[in-house]
Amino acid sequence: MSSSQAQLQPGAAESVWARFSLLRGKLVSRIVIYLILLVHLVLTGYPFVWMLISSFKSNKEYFADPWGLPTQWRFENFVNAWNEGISSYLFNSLYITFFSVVGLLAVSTLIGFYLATRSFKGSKLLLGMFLLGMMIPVHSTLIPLFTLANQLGIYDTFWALFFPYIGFNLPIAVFLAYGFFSEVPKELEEAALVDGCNIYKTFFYIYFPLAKPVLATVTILSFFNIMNDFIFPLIMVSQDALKTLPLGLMMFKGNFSADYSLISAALVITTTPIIIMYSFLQKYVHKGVVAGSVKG
Amino acid sequence: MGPALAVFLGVIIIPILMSVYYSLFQWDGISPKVFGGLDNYIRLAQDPVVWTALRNSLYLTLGALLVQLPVGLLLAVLLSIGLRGSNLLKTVYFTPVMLSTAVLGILWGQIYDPNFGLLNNLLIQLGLESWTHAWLGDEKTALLSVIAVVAWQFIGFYIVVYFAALQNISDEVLESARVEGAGEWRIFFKIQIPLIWPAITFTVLNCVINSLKYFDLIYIMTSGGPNHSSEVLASYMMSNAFKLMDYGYGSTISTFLLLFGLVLALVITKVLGKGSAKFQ
Repeated sequence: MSSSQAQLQPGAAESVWARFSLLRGKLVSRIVIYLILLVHLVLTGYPFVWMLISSFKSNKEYFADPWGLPTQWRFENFVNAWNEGISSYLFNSLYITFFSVVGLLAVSTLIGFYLATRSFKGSKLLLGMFLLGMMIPVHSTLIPLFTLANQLGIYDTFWALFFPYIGFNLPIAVFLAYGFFSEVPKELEEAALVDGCNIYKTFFYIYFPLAKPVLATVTILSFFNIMNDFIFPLIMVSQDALKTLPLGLMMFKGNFSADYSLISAALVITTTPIIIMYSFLQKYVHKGVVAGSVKG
Repeated sequence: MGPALAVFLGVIIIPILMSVYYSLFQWDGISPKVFGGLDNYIRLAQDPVVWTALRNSLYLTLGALLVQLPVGLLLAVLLSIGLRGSNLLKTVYFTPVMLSTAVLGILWGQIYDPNFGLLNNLLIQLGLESWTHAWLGDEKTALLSVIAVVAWQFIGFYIVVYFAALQNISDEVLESARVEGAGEWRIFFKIQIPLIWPAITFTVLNCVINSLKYFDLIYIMTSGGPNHSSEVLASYMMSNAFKLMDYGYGSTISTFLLLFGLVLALVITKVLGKGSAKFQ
């Protein structure tokens, strides 16, 4: 709209009129923009609001009027959902995710550092292989992973989740770590060498602390990835003590399929920690998503 | 360097090779494998469900390319004007991307519920009772209903990617274009689009590949049904391998999924690469 300035004619009256229509145009376009943004806000947000309201209802109220508010806010739905298994699924998710992310950080920064600072014949090829890993669909590996886990005796153990989670998050982590470490000036390492640091000391005392932003990005991306995954628990484990939240929720839904408000409460319990974490880390999450998306 | 490489080989590379190997056998996972050569691949080519799955992937791709990307770009452009509240809106728009598909699948399953769901209830309130539907239970609407949820989830992702790309365009470029008298539409098509072309290339590639290997919401909301109407390759692989215990044929579908994806990625990169050359 502001471009019409260029077409302003000389002459006071006309110019005032043009200025007025320009302002009006700006106001109108502003309202239109806000309207579009608002529509998308309602479409995105209302399902969550509805989920929250439903979780406080009794089933009777839920069935009678899905749009209405509860007459009495039933907090016991949350207590019931929590006690009927959600608490242990949440705990499983947290510890499996925690250890997988720590493992991922350890191995990905090491190899990123190595490939970035000690290039050797074939190091580019190796990097390329890791990057190609981003294109591999998880599903193409599931049958062999399942048979391998059985042969190695790790089916239905923590390791059957731990290794796939590291493996499938490696490509992006290596890509980010490599990108970061190859930007660090060579002089830094030479100075460390002069001061008597060997390669391990150089890595742990100099490069690793420097890499905090990358570590944060990798942590956030892989945390949400692993926390939200349900395909590996579905295939690789069968005991309840290893079922993470997403799969646990599906089981929960199967067990209480007629209890709609209880399911809603379970959904609210599951989403709340993620949404709280996301809103605190929002800036880093967006940065990480963008960093992961410009690999072209 | 050792551990990363070992995990990568053990979890990705070796299973891929094993999958190719398994695809040449008839195998139920228990009795000994029987070598069948390319039998499974011949079966694949003649399997009508595979064709349905490919057609469904095409629909998913079209839904992504025609809805997610344009809407994402539009909203990113509007947010990048920098009106008050833009940042908060961007945060909310992105929220579904952060949540587990299990949550979203169950939530939308409740919305689509034929008896107590929001959608049918809304239609009744609007006097459109004849439009109410068993959305996920009807062959005609199951896939479309899932595609709508996929779009709903991922628009926020593309908003954030495009927004970041638009932020990278320096204000001076846009300012000088305005001083030269370029209109907003011209600026959009002649300056912003070419400058964010790498992001567009990435998102198109992302859409096509992800649609081909899509699985999550299909599995949770319809498990490929009813009557295979919403099947995709990954869900069909899963039911062949882990329900029907046909590991040989399941591996054939896996291998096909992988190879087809790689070829598609190669073709798209080539085509869009040419497109970006045109702009320079």
